[in-house]
Amino acid sequence: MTSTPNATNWTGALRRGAERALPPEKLLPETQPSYVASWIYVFGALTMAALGIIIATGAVLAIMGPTWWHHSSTGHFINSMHLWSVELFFAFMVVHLWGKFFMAAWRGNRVLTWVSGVVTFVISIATAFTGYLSQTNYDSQWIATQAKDGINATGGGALFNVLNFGQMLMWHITLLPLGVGILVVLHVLLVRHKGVVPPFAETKGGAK
Amino acid sequence: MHGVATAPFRLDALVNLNHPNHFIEWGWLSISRSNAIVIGLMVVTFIAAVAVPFPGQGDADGEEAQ
Repeated sequence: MTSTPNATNWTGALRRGAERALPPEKLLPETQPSYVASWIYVFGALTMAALGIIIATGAVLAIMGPTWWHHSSTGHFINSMHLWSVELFFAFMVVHLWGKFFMAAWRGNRVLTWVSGVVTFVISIATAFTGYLSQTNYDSQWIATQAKDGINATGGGALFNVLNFGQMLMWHITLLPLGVGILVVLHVLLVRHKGVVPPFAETKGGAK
Repeated sequence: MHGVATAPFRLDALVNLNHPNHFIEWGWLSISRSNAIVIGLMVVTFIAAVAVPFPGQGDADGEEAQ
């Protein structure tokens, strides 16, 4: 099997497509347009910083287990960090979302960037809710029984059983965080690919 | 506390939360006071994020910022 620049196998096609969509100077730019100097984007970066803390503290909780986070002072501290970084994650994300909504950030063929952010928000809510069910205390039991009727009313109670602790824990620590992580990476790559949406004044004659 | 060494002093919570939640009732709207405060703080933060000038923004208008 020979290797030529014009090889048509899927790895070569994927590489050429990725290079076209995101050349290095676009993937990691050294400058940005002046309108990117806005606090709204700081809140986007803060959201990702909070996500980093959530993943790190969640990994520690997974390693050490419920007995540790219920009975050890350090466990209480890491558990609290996990909770409060989630609170900040949502607060930062919503401020960023409000800003992008009023900028109509989907202009200029940026619909996927907007939609990937919105879907990340929705999946994050599901991740947080399954986190409430994974506390292993009376609070999580109470929430599970209250949520059961609601999920049953949607018709999904048999597949997604909030009283099944093992299932909820698996959703919380594997599938949903994986979904959030993939979508955040996709969101950032789309921002790099399409560029940050210019302000309305920069797009005379309507949306571009 | 189960043999765990306690700190020599402890700070009490800034806000006393050891009581039933207060609710704001306005027509059909019913929201806990703590949730209303958090939403209010987020709105204030958003307004500040839009209104407060970003450092170094004034001299780079129309040019590429570093």
